[in-house]
Amino acid sequence: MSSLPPDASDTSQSDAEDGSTDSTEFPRWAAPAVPPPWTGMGEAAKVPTFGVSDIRAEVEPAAAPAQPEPAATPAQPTAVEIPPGQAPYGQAPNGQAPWAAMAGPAEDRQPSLDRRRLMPTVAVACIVAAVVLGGLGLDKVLAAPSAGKVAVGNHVTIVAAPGWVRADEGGANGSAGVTLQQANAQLSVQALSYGGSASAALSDLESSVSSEADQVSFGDEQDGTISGRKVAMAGFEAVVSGSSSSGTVDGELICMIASGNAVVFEVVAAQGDLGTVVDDVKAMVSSVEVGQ
Amino acid sequence: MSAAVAAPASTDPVAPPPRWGVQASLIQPRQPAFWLFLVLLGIGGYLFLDEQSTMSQLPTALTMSWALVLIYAVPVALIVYRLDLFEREPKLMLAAALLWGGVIATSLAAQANGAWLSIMGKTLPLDVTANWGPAIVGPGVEETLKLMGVITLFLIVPDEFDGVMDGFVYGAMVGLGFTVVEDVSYFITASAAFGGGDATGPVVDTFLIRVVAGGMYSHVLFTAVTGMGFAYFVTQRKAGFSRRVLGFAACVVAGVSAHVVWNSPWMQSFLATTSGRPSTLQWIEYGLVKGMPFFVLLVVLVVLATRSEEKNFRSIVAGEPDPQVITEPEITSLGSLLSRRSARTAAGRLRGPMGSRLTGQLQAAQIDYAIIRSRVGTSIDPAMDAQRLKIRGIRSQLEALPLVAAPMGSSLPYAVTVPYGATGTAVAVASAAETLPEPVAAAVPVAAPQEVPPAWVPTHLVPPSGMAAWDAPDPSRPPMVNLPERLELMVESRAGAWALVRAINGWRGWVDGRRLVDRG
Repeated sequence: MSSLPPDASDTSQSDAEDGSTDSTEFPRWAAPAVPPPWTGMGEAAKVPTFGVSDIRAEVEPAAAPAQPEPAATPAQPTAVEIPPGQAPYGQAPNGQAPWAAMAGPAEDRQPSLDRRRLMPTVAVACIVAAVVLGGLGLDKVLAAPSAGKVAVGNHVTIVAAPGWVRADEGGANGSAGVTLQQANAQLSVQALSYGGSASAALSDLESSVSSEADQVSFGDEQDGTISGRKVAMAGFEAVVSGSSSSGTVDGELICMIASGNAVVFEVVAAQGDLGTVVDDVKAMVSSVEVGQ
Repeated sequence: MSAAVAAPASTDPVAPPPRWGVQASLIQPRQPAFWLFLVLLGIGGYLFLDEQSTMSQLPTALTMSWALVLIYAVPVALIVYRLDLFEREPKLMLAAALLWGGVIATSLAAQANGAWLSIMGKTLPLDVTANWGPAIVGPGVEETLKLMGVITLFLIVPDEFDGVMDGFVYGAMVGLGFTVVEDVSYFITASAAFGGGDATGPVVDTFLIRVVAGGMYSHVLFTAVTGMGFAYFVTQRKAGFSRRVLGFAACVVAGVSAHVVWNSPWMQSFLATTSGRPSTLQWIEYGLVKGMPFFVLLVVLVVLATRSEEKNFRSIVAGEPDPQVITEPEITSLGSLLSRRSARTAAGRLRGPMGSRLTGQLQAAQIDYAIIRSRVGTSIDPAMDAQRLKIRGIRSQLEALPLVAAPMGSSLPYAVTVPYGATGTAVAVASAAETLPEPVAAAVPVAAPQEVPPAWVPTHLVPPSGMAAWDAPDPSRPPMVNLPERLELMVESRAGAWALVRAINGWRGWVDGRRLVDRG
């Protein structure tokens, strides 16, 4: 501490620019060495022990006070006891240069991976892969059950796509039509004698759906041919509710005219899942056969 | 003023206090988990942007959707953040948790859910798949992916997991990110379905159902519980391995079960309706019945974790010799958001709005003190001294505030009021059942003037380059110390050009009064 600068000799200089210092803002000087006035209260031994009465006893009020002459004071400020573990002013601990502490140990600068956590990280990656890629892969390799060739009625048959099975007890009720189901989609197919166009059949079907759903909105009709037969189709979204459940579904209506029959497909899937079954439905529509 | 803080009797001598003050960055190129995070963020980000691009075909609905989920998400994030009472987690880590939940987990789950549902359909009866598919696949896939996010964050910066509460915070943030993005997806789907276009009505309806009715029981709850289990496993090392495994497993089972129950077809009768759609009230009833038990469980776990944090806080600040820094009642009042607010409110009644504000600053400074002390590992450190000085400064400002009259008939808890508003010698301690005495009477120092100096109010600063101080106004004597610049001092008296000054900790000395800078 003997290197501490003496007090400025020019006592007339103004320091008023610092007068605006916020009381809650603490300057950086607090970080290096800490002299007694602001040292921890527990270190009582380092706090000067004189009190007001002691000082007043030494001051003669009547006498003109000696002007402090910090610069002229011959004696340098006495060394201040530095608490153990603290560095003197201007020095970093252990006498290192100020920037020495900025650089970490040599091993910290090495770019190599931390091998201790490599295996746990690999384990996490494997779990994520198993959940995502494992699911996708397993889904592809698993053979899906299929209802095979299904009689719809009026001598009309379709071939159920893989993953689609009967959901109507095998048509035991004798009605003309069949219901197939996949994980989260359902396809109803009916074959009715019909003399009109595919577009007219679609309009009839839309009216029927509207009467069954709480809310429904249809997309634009699209006309075309599949396997040489005229087809009209339209997408829809509907709100359905029952005594025990309710929800929103996406769907598609497809009407095909085949040998005096209107083969009507109505596919319904959980919200957002319709896209996953579009290819299956196209394949089943293409598989329509009319027997003799 | 209470005596210095003693070490808690129940502190485990084997378990060292947590190192709250050691905060690390998310950017850890040496950690393999950091690169795993980046890779998955890239994959998830691509899928996320692709989905958002598709949704942007309905710009009004998309904007409304994000606005609504942010109304929900911002307060929830703040609550989660503030529930971590003592050691708040780095914001970059929290952002990473949100990104994992909202970008990585949602995008990967969207791929995996469909595949696993399809597998169920191929291997189980269709009615089982139709009824229970969402209840089995959803929790299995989504909770696994979200928990992997918490574990990945731990593997990147294990030092940030100091206690069970950290698992709650990171788990809840991962869950919040997930539920926000998933909700937006649902809102847009509803808009496309019901409105047949870019409509906002269905967005609001779905918001009422998913957020207002069920927001408290969503992914935030599920992953918070599983995250706490993981944090218990990795942080409570004083417990036996088998006990930690059991705790981890119990929390995972609880979190996943909450999700299963939520997705299950159980209790659909609450949504039964003779015509039309279930009302919002029905959805709220449905949510209460299904989610409230697990929500209560989460609250209990958070309370237990908070108590553990308070115990850690107590062990960190134990042995602080200066009663001006923190007192036992203050530690107690820092134990919950409610008690902290009560202390601020009480200080506000006693000393006005500024008193409330300063009490808040004092609480924050005391928590920072614990953070610093846990980092340096000793009570003797320049940073510690600086923090002590800051606390004393705030306390002195608080004590210097004039008392204002308390409302008639009000009863303020002394355990809360005294530590943050009293000088230590000015207010007599009363029992908690007693009402506050008259403020004026309380403000009058009761100790003898010789023993109790006037309240320290800084009047001057040490000038730049510092200044010497003497133990007597005698230049022939050597200075006893060189005061650092900007040190706050109170001038008690003057003798010619000499000034008798006092520092905040009671130190006194003589300095050249002409060089002191007036604080203004």
